Amino acid sequence: MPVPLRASAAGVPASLVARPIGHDTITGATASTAARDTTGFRSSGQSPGLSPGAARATVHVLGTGAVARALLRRLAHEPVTVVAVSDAEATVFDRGGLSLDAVSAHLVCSAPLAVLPRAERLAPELALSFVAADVVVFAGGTALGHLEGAIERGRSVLRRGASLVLAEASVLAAAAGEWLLGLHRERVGADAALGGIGHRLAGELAELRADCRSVAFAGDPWSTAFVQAVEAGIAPADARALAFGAEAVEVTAPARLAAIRAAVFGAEWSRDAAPRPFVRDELPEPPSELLRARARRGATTRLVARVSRGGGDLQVGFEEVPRGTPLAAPPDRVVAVYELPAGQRVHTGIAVTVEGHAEALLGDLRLLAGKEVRT
Amino acid sequence: MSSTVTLSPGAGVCHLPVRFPLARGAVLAGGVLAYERIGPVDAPVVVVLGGISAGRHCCAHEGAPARGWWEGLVGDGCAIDTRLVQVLSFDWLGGVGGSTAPGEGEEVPFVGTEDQARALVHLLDELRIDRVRAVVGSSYGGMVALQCGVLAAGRFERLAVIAASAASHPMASASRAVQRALVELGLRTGRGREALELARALAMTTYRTPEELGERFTGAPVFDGQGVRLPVHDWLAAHGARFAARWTPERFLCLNRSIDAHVVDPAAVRVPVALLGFDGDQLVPAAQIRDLARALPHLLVHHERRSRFGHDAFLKEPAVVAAFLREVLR
Repeated sequence: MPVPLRASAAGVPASLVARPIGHDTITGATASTAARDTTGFRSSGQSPGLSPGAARATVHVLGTGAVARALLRRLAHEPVTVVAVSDAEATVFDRGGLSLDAVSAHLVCSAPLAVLPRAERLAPELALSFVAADVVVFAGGTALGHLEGAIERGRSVLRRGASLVLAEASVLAAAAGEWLLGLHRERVGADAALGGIGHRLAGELAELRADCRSVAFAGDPWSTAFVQAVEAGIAPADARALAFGAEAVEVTAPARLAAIRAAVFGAEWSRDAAPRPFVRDELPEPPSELLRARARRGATTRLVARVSRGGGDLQVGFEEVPRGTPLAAPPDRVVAVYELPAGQRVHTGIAVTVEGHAEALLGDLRLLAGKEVRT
Repeated sequence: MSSTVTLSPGAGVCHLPVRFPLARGAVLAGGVLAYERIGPVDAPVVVVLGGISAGRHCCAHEGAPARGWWEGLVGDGCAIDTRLVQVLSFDWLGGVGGSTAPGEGEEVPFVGTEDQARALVHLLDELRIDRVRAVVGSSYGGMVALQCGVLAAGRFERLAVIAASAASHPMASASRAVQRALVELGLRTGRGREALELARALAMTTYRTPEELGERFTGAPVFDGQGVRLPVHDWLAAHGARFAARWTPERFLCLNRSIDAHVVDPAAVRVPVALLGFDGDQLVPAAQIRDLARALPHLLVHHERRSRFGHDAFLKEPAVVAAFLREVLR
């Protein structure tokens, strides 16, 4: 039976009443999951998610930021039951399923979950074991200082036989060897964490592990937007404001490449050798004159991370890149280029924006939602 | 949400807009276009487009020494002289090669000839090519060339269209419909590859002329216990097998439908056009090209040549094609 949550005097919507989500067929939350998306997940004649007649998978979302909220909007239309949402301090939970409209309405105000009536102040670790959902989505921000905690939470999810979906590259990078190659690899969703190229990596991993000599990764939307603005003649200060806004944004490309490196070359991440999370201020952009000179001769500039088989640390920096080449990606996608004997294998992903990220998380979740929880 | 391509040496790749709407309603998400660009960097650009089996690699060059699909017509000293012009070509969206295309088991999107033209325009934008000396298109490539003349007339100085017209002829569409039905049946029954071989074999009967096949395959029938075989059967089977080794049913269906749905209003082609047709072409009859010639507002020249090779003359008659190209490109 759903447990009604009393509206508080603070005006929390009385509609935040937990009730089962209807058993609707999947329609897809956005146009990008429409049936005709040629590079999307759908296979003709196959329904995503559960087999008919199977129980609906339960989902626990950790995180309440923009990506988590975008995911929750999509999950309202999926044949799964979202039983819990957690932030760092509290969890709202109902085994019958949360009212996602109400949760989303609360979160859009950026209010913490703790102020909700009947929200439980539980550390995430306790919430995870208490809720014991079939699929757990790590959709929140994780500073390096808490990285070990995130890894242990992920391990606990996988140990009890549930599936894990990851939004953050840094978390994946820290345990990539274990989660992309180990016993639980088929219960880890890493497509979103890798900008939308995780499924491709998984599908071609055997070949890449055998033959790949080096990997280059480009996919930093903010620096790409800055470069394009400067190339178009905008003054650097204005270009920086346009591209970066007020956020000090972590550069995710190194972490994503670290995860790929672990999967393809087997290099284990360690705190000392890891590409520590770069914040933007630590990677100064090239001078505008240089950017424009490159543009005049038909090239452009991108932030590129590189690694070679057996070749030491990741290299990260701004590089001149010819136009019309794989690394000259626009700001709305990520690209991994694998050097193989037969040529370059290019993986392109579009899980870059908040909506794109949420879409990729949804794709991961759909693949995993039908897997039986093994204990 | 992602794409994967393998680029052989010499290939470039252009990222299409993250959402690339297709003409019939589908959306290509995060697609890429694989291309080749050869010749002097400051030379005029000639775009070269072939049939559905052609791709970005027109001829051997330093970056890619393998033989190309128009070897002898494109290259140093050839009719399209890569010492004097830059040659740009790309792999079809939806086809084989490095451009985005449906994978096995994936839904087959509708990609029109107008979508291929838009992808080309996007490639030109990316490479900062403002003006193209000519688009030389044969067969499916000729259809796309005509769409270029509608879509972005200001970008192209002229079109050279070989064995192509403003729409698919009903006779050609009839054969294609049977080919399509074969492949769709193959997909439904788990025999996609066999169906693809048969579809290609059927297609081969439309690419040539009775005259040519009559000259080549004169052997007596062989009775082998399962039926009767003639030499032409082995030829068909070989072509079918070769085709099925490169293609998937999904990609075949994508371009097969694209050809059948091709429609261009000749009056809307605002670029000067040179036409070359072949008497004996069963797919694009000479009469159909004559109709196109009469309807185009800017006809440069129209040549009609007799060929025992029919539609495949654009591949098998290099001397004829070279003379046409030299006339158009001078």
